[in-house]
Amino acid sequence: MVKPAQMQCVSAKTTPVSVLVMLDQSSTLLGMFCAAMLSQAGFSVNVNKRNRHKHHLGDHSAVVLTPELLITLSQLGIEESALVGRAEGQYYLADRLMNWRATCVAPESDETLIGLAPSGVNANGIRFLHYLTRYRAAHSANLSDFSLNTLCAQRGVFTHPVSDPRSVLSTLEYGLMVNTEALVELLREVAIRCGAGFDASAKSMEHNLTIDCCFSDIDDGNWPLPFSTYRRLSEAEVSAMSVLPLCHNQAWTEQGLAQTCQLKTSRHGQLFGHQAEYAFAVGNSAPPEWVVSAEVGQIILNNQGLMRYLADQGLLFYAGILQLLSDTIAREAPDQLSDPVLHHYFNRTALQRYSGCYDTAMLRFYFAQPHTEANRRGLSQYQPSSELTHLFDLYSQSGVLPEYEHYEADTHWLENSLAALGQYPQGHDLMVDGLSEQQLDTFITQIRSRLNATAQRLPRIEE
Amino acid sequence: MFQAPKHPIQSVVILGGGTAGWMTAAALVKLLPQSQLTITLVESDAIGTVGVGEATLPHLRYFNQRLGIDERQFIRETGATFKLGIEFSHWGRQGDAYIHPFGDYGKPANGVNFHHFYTAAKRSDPSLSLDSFSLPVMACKAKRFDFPSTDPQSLLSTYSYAYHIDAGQYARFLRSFSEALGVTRIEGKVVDVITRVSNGEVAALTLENGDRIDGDFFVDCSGFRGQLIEQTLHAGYEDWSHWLPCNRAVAVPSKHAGDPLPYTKAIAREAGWQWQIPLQHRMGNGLVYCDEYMTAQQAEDSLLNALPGAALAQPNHLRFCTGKRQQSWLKNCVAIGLSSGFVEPLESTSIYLIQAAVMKLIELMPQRANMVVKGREYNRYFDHEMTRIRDFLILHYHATQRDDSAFWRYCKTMLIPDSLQEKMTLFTRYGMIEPYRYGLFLEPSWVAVYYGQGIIPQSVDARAVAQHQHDTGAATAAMAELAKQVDESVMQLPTHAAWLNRLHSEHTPVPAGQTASASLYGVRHG
Repeated sequence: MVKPAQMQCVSAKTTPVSVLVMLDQSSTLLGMFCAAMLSQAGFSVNVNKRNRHKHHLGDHSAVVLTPELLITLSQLGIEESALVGRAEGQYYLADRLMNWRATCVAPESDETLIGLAPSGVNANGIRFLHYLTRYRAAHSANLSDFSLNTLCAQRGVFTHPVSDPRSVLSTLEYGLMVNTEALVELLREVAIRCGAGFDASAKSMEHNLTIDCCFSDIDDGNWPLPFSTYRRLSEAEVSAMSVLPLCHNQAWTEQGLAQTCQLKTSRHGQLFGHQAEYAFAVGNSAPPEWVVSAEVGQIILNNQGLMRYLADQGLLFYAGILQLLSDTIAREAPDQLSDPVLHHYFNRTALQRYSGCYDTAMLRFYFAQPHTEANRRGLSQYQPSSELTHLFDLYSQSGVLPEYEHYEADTHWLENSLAALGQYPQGHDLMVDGLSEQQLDTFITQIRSRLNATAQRLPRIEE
Repeated sequence: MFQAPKHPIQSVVILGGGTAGWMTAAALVKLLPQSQLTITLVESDAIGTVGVGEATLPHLRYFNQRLGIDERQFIRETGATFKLGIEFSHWGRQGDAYIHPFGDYGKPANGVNFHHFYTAAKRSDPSLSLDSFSLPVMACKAKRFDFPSTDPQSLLSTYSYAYHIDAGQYARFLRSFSEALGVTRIEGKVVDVITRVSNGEVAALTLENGDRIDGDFFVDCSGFRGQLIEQTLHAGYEDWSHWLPCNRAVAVPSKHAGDPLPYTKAIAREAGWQWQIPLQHRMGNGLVYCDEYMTAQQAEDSLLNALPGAALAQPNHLRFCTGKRQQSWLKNCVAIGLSSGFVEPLESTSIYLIQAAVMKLIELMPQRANMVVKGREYNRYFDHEMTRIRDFLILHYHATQRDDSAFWRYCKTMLIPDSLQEKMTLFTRYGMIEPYRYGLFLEPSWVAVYYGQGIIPQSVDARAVAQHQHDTGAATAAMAELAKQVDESVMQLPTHAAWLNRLHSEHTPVPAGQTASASLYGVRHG
């Protein structure tokens, strides 16, 4: 992936649009990301932090950054070296799912990895999964066997990928898992460097635009999640869990879904469940009206739906909605921000992206079969959208995935996720049948051998 | 021992030849295992083909490459010339002209598209021209051509190319190709279509001579009438003529006047537009018009009076209704080509739509059990593709200041789809173009038409303005340098005529390593 040049803070000679970013202790990451992005883009930004909740409800102690997010942060001037050096950054290669198929496989086998990068090698215009599907009719093989990402994650090895497409190492893609507080501080430094103010007394009426990132627990039921409570795991709890360092670990337990990750010097984790005894509840709410004209000349952006997306702030950015916001409000004159055509465009596009992001995230929950009845009951309330239903039907019968404009996730991520949950198509592309059995066997074996040989040569990450 | 799964779909029957039928046959026979599938094409020499689709898009190179067709052989067999874009004249105003290129303009910066920077810079330097920042536009103007560079760092990789071809010769070439690989061609006129009582699927075709052609799956390439998809299965038609009012065309080949140009011409006329498509040995000409504003005789006279050289045949008149089938895939039949719908060839989309349909069919080639879900996906995909192309074509007509005829007054004031209205408003006010991941015409194409037809944004992205104002000298110098690089690169290219002459030499190969991609634009920056 080609990294674009880092953006410079640009101060316009004309009067820039003034923006008030409101956040609270449960939305510091989202709010600070917003402030940094907009201040670097030349807006006059003020940040107003409110103290609303006793506990950190939305912000997790660690956040997972995808390769795309690393590029976005790099454009803000936050390089990988800073994330590794100051935010305990640990390389992220795959999601590790444990106990997701309790009703289907033996407990000792119920672990699978979803690599970030495409698996296998496409050939002759045909995706690799089709070759594998035909191969699986007579052999045992999983898609994750053909992913350098998962092979490295299993072995605990890593090196930076190369750009030469002839090298197997070019097929590796990575993100970072970082300490949230440290990332917030890095973003705050960007915002300050680009002129953002932190005035606790700043008011909406004094600005052209207000962006309210504060956490909210309003529930209108449009975007149901399979959980109703959330808490951070204690140090003791996290230490007791099985963690692969290069993975975002997601394990179903008696209490619910535990997400853990190993940073450079610390472990972090949170638990999503249905425990009534926890004092604070994660509400299931929607992005009702993304941009609502509250008063003349003002727009309020409400982030409720974003925060509800599994309450994992790393996923907030997958939908690219803050980038969309930045593009939409980058107007030459403040009065342009009251244009309802802009509002409609942002609302429509943000909602489309959010629904695509929601579908993509919920996909794995649709196929999850965790141990306890309480967990399964929570999942059973989720009904997939018509787009996702069509995707499942088409994929299961043919191995083809529809190209939905509003699904930001790449096709390979969907394939890797479905395969990880044991969902392989019943049919494959007929063009694959042009290969003889021996040719297919050779093709598959060669790929597997090259990947294994490459992974075996890589250095282990520092423990 | 691996056993191929039993495919209940064992025979495919294609009704209709022409470009659609033979592209379908060629792709099916080449790309699908022949041990499992028989392919039969039924056509009648007595039924003519439309034969006006002669300008293509870069995607055809990808299609040919997948089929293993040698480019030099293709150029020789089809009388092809190269194409870097389309010149549109008199669309915004009488006397204007712009080129919609197969390439991008300038380079984006920090996620902001180039046209914002260009517009900001033009405020202080009105002499700037967007054309200067597009290599294919400047190459067209200079009548030059070369194959793009395969080096992604080179400016010479930032464009693509297509061809002007004789579609009839292409179909004949593909017929030979297909029959050599095992497609069975049956000459005959279909007089009846037999359907299954149980489910209404097409079961067989009956020919005039009494022969019966059975099949498991049918591809309707019978043209506008849609003998299977419409006359038999009653798929229904969605009429778009209120947005694209042209409903007639007259076509005639002529001699050239000078060397063939490396671009198509689309010349707006009083009730429609005229095309000029330069082949190696002749010019393809046509006039697309609306019969509410012009009679057939007037159209013929108008076209004949505007030919670059002597006519080489009698004019051929056509009638059409712009729109699409409500379902292009219905039961066990898929319509490809004119039978699936029609939009005028303003942006050379006819052969592209055939190719897109064929490749999607191959990707979704059904077994009986999954026909419904695959048909649903095919229709979803095709609807999306056609609707976006439709909106882009409507833009050409609606984004006009012309009011010199009743036709143009209608186009200027007609109601347009909401989707397009929003797009035009956002661009006019803010220079915003909604980014798409999928689809044929992406931001560079919209930039070409908007600016070319005089739609200049009232304001642009503030980040571009700020960057320009931050250091106007540096910004101006960077633009000048880019324009200089484009100019210098273009002047190194051979002329289009020289390339055509070289290709006739037995010893001149097409440069190796030309990997065709499914894109209009070559390598894009950003």
